[in-house]
Amino acid sequence: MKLTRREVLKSAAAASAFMALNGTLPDLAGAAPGEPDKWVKAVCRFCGTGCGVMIGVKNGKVVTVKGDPNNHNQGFICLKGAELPSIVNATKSRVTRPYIRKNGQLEPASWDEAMDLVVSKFKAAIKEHGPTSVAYYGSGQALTEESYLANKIWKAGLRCNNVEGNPRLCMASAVGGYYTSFGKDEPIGCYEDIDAATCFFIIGANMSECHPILFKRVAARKQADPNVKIIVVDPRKTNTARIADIHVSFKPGTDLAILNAMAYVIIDEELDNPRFYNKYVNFMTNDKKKVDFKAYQKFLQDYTPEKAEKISGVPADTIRKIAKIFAESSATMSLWTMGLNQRIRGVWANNLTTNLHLLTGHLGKPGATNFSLTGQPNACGGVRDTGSLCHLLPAGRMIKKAKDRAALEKQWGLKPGTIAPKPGLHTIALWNAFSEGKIKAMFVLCTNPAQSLPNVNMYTEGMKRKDNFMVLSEPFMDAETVKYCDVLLPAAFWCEKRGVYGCTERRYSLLMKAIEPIGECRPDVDILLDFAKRMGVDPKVIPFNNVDDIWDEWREVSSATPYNFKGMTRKRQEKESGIRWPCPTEDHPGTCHRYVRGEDPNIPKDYKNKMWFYGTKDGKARLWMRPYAPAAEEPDAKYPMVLTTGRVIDHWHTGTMTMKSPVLRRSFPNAYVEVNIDDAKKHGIKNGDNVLLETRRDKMIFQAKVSDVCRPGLVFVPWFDKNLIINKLTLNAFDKGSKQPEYKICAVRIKKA
Amino acid sequence: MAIMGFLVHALPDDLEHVERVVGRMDGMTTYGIHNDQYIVVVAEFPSDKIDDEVNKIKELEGVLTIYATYMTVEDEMDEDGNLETNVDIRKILGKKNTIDFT
Amino acid sequence: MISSTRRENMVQAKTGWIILVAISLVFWVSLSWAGQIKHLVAPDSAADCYACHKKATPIIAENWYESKHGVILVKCFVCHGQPDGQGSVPWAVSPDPKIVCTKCHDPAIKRMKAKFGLAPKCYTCHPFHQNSLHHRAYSKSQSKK
Repeated sequence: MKLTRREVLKSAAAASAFMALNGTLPDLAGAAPGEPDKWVKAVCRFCGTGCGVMIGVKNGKVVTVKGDPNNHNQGFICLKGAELPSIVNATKSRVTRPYIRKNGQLEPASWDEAMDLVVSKFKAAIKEHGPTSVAYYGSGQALTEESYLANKIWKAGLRCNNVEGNPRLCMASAVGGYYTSFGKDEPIGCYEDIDAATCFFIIGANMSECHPILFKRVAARKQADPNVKIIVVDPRKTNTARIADIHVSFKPGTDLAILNAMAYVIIDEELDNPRFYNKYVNFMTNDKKKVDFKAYQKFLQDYTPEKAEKISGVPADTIRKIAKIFAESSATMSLWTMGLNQRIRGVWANNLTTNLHLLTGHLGKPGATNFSLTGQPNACGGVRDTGSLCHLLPAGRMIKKAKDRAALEKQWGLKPGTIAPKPGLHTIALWNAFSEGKIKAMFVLCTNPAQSLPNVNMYTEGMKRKDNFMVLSEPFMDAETVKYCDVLLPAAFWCEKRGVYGCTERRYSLLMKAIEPIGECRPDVDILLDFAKRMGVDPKVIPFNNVDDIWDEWREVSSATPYNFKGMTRKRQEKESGIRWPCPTEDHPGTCHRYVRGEDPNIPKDYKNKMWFYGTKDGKARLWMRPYAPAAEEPDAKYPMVLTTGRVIDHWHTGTMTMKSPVLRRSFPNAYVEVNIDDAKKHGIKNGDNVLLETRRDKMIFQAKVSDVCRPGLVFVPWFDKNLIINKLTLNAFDKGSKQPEYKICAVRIKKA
Repeated sequence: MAIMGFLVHALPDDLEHVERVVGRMDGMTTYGIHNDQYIVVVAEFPSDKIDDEVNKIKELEGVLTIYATYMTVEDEMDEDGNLETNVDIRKILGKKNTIDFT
Repeated sequence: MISSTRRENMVQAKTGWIILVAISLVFWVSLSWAGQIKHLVAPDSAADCYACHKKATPIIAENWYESKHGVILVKCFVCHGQPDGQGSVPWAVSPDPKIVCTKCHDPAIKRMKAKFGLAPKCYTCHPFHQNSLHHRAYSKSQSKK
């Protein structure tokens, strides 16, 4: 055949394209996982949104995951949840057997050897220094049954009230806020309020990265009704602000002034709701004196929009605008997380946000609620509700109240006086004491304090001491705290065990066991029971054969309190996908709104008022007149900028889990410092340059990410990187009321490195 | 003179439309839609113009991207050392512009 | 002035050499086509797709950023996996709905199947990259029916 040269070349061109089609282009079917044998119902391991997940198991291995269509997330999960299979299967990085530290190195040991050593240390400490010389430091990521059990073992078994947990570092101010405003902890409303709200007031929260599925629900609400208004108040212009109608940037720490100024405007514009607050609200001064509305008006004279502008840098007109939007909408929902909580004025910030709802009556109707978002998957259900903190007892009772101790002792069938009357040490005080050798033995479970405590150098130095002993129950070998523990116990991870998670909206969901624990790993419930038995704890304290027994006892204990979730039997939990408490009987559907007649089963159906804040003596909520006061370490001449820390969507907390996913790791392989464009120009910093960050405590070099996210004067560093632990630079000043540290604000100076 | 063989990766809804538009462009020859997502195209342009012309395809609605699989360039240099980019192959070879494959 | 025969010989040699180069080019390009080369260059941040694709494939990147998936941070790797195939999702330029879409949209897929029988590839009707928040397509999205 005869072809022109040109035709040959063109055919060759076409041929190569066809060859590429069939040969090397990546095709679909390729590496698809096999279809699972079974789907096991559980809850995601990550944030406080608490999405239900269905775990696909094939041949005893987790192969895939999808959202639970019957839980509140209706089948949706975020990018971290989607990566759970690769994290569960990262078995090479797991702790698979006990270890004992000998001559500075962790040596493999048997369970008996390890537990005998642990028990001998605890017994010796109690014998020589009394029960207050030992402690338990738990986690908002442990299962409810684990926290409940540990709490009981220490407080009723060892008679030691040094029971704390990492929720002290994240939610304590929210607890304090709800407690002082309403008399009881935990949100009034639920996720369904998102579907009914007409205005969202998002403050101190980056929902798009920290509560993605709730953010999606807010965005969907706005899509469904474009008249819905979204106000985002944050010194950073995060991805959350993308859907905002107004983004308000302010000088860090001055939100207290803004919130008071909003209250001023609401009253000035006559948008307040006297019918609501005359009936349901007591006005309280900062020093706990009850006053009247006139006194509150006088207090607010210091917070006119103009005065607040001077303090916060937010234009007075903007304050007026957002106050009017907040008050004029038919149902306003406030959402907040660490921006308000991780402050030395955390309780105050919570109170002032609640005040706006008490002033306008945006409570107790669908869509209107002050909704604190919880960071961890089980801070609510596991630690707050079970009272696993140094001053609490299960179901909102308090150690310092003799009546509460007696009621619990009776329910637990224990001798009166079993529970010690003095509260224990809160987290910072506890770790201070451990670092000084005053606490001799500490049991750390499911948390990573060597990376998560503020001003962490102080505490890792303390962990190195020879006169204190730390036993750590941890699934991952490369967790920072493993470097410092004396005994390391292999904990079963996530779906290798069975138990309950209680998420932000008071929803308790059961995680069913999907696979067997690997190696010699044991569920923490078994580890704790073993510990208690070897310690010689009274068998009446631990009458449990398995995790379900613990749940049944906790159900029973709750039934004598407003938490009452006796109706959540295990059978029901297995059938359903989460139930909200209160839930007194098996046929009760769970509660959407507390304190509201007709919805809250604690309120008689014929109660005289629509709402009843039964946590307070007179059934009324409290509006607290909190002033603006600066942060613990404001910027000054030597350290002129503010350092704040936080999360990114791809990583969870200290990264021990998400770094195991090759995809999440490569999405953000290292920590960085986010610098404002103008600040970068001033310091001669370009994107990607090394920047030295220095605080009074430590210094560290980060790569710069120059953007317009942070406001000028503010830098942001995420805390997931164990090679760049930003907590070495943060400070451990804490809120006097909640004892929660101020991670969000400290003074820093930056320099091109 | 340059000849390039490439695949156009387009959204399923837009495949036919893109193929029609590309086929009508001077210098482009299409060879059909394949695997429900690719169009095979061969472009022939002066070597200094071919990049721009092919990039025009990227701007079409529905086109995701372009995968080049083959490229050949044949330029002619004249006595003064200038590169003549728009030489027709036929002119270069003159009488001997056929290759016998028999 | 070069004789035409000499010129012909020069050109023939040249074209012979060019054919050889072209053939090797064909093999080289089709065996290691453009995408894989670029992805191997920065393996540590291989899952930060958007950073590079903003410049490499700006139209798709913009579509994604403006879409629902972009706003709620369903990042590229959630559906496409990553180039070396590690992670929970297999690497795919055109993801398989059975593996990827079901992770979040299973209830809707089941509803579709119940209503209409067959479940064709989701993206024949639902524009995964182009469901914009601003464009009218958002309010007229077929999924809202």
